[in-house]
Amino acid sequence: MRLLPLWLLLSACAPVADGTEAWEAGDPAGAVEQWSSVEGRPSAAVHYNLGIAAYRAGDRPLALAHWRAARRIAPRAGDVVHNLAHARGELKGVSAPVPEPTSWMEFATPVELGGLGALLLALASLGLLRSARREEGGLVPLLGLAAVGLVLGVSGVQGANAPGVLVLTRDAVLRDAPDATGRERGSLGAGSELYVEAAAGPWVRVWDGAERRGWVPADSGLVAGPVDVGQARRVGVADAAVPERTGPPEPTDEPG
Amino acid sequence: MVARLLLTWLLMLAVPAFAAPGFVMTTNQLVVGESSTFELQVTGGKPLSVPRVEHSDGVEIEYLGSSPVTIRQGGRLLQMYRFQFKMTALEPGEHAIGPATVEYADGHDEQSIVHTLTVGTDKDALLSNFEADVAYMPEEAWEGQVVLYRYRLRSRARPSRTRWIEPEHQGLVAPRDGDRPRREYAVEDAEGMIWIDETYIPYIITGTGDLSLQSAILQVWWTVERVDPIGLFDRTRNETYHLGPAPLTAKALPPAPDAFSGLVGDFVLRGSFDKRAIKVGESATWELSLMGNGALDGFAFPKPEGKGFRVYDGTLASDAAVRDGKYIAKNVAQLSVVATKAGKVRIPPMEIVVFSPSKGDYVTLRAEGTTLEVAPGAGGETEVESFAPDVDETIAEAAEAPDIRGPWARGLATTVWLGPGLPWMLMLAGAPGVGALGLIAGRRVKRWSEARAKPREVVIDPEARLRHLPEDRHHRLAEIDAALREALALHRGVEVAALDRGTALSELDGELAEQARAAAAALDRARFADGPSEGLAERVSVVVSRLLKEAA
Repeated sequence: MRLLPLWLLLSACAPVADGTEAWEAGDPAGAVEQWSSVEGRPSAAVHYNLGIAAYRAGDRPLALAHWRAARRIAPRAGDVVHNLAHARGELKGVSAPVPEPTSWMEFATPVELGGLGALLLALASLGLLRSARREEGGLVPLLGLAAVGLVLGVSGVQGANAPGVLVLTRDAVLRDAPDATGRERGSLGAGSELYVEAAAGPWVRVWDGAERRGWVPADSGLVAGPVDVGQARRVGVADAAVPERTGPPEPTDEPG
Repeated sequence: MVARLLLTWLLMLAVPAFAAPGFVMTTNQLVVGESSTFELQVTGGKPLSVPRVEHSDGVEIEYLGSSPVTIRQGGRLLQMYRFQFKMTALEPGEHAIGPATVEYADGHDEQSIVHTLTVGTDKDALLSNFEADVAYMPEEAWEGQVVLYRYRLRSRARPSRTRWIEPEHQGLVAPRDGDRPRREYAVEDAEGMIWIDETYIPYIITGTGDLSLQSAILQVWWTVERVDPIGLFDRTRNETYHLGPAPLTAKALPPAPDAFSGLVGDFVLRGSFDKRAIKVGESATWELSLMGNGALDGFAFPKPEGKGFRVYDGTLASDAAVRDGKYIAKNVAQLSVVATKAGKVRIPPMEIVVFSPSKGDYVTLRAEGTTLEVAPGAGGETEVESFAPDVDETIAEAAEAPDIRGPWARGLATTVWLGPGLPWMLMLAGAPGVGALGLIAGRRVKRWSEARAKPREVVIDPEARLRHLPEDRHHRLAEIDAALREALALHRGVEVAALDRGTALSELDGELAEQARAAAAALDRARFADGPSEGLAERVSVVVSRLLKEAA
């Protein structure tokens, strides 16, 4: 009974470990099957590993989608940043990838920031309770702490609700209206990473972070983010690609 | 206002960049009859006299004054002398302002660079009090060329606020480098000041044909009524203007030669070697700079190949900006040329084929190579197999990494997304604090209410009243009377308002009664029969003291 937490932890980690073992043994299909067996929201490790499988299968856009999703969950993981940069460098004819919606999301997750805000707010609350009980003064530092906590918390909430990034899995035509008869504003290559701004039926409005903004079909890409946008699908374990063979074993890195 | 402060701050930041005398111009464009100001900043020492500014006949220069300021440069404090001048445009054309010659106290002199002022003739453009326009510069360009989209407002009255709504540009993309400089400044003509607010946005042409924009929208807030000195709460009137069209025609490039680099613009290529004699295995640095009015996004210098040397990428810096209405991009690279065998090694010239919009044709830019004298290396004459310049270790590691990084063997398979719970966490964390604040506020309100409800204690102190008598006779006598009444009331143990002075005086006994009645009578004569008032306060004071003493 005392070993139950350990057993639960090992079970929770098993798909990642078993899949990687199969991968290193030259069984990519078995590895992808293990990584895809996850029920619920896949972790950064699963997204990262499925991205590698997609990359090896030659599906660069799918690999990018998985790695961007991994980055949202584990923004400080160096391996993810490295592989993203590597894959982006191989894509031709796509515009510069959009960064995360806010700069702090490059190094912290919304939950981390929001959690820190909540912690500061709780500390300030306790201090205020104590002041109220003892009828002490000195409210200004506590109110300042509460304000900082509130700002961080609200930033975290905003980040958590920020629309994800759409990674195009096929070439798409950018239109000025959510309709196939809309005027063409240009084309976007598979692998383009774009902000998702709005949705209208089977269309989503995207923005390349610079000049180009318009509508593309929702099924032309996968959203790498925690929030659903219209009919655009979030990248998940169902989006997997199996390479023919893995080749020589690759060095195994720890999550960074 | 904010933009003006920012501009001033930027100018202040720019100040230390000038070691020799330097101009700081308010504008480089005027129309005939307009005036503007400029400043000459001198940091090389104390000038003997006002600097002499050469200028064309088409411009009139007037010295306005000077002011010394102390600036910090590289950790040292320096004295800067700022000479203000006014320039008035007399004739249309391009006019040189400068060089300015500064004579210093130690006998030497220095000259500034020459600034160019463009004077136009579109005087009628501002017939009304307001004029705004949008334009591409130039209006006819080539595919791949950088054009500037300019929107400009010229107004006799200074707008409170402006907002430009830029239309969507078809067939244009923004270059990776290049800001959107917005300038606010004022020029002056015979009819007064003209406020100018202009912004330049660089775009690369990606399409061909007619790329004209039909309209842009300008919203202007005019001040109707000034409410406060800094304009925070002024009443304003908002007006919307549709501007345009902005014509632009893009021509397709002629068939390109094989070596075309993809660059479109008028560029200058320069190169230099840091040394010409090296040993096998050593490197010489070939610094190359490419500068021009075209976009250099993603450009990399080609690496020449030949016998006896190898060329490796070195440090690279690229930058682009809009300066004085012109887009200028610059790319500087330091290539490492490594000798791989001894003897004379010929490095071929660097050649880059670009399309020149001003010539309408492809041109080949050339930076001469050199001949390196290569001596045998320390270990004799050996072939060098590989070489990498000193680079950041992480970059080197990434460069050496043959592939993507491998899968993770550890980690949880699922993650719990707590995002939707964040607002609840915040509410839970903040709720006790809000409650405590409410409690504290409630207590404070209660205390305040109680303090207000408590009846105010009226302090009766006739002696204090007598110590602070007013100068005015009428009020002075009234105060003395009040002091006497208060003393009598305290003596009798009744409220002042309920006191009958006559009864109180008649009920006194002995010497005090006589003193009090006499003082009261003298007081009444002084107050109501214009009798003498000298010494009255002292008499009443004595009576009051005795009354209080008895009352105690």
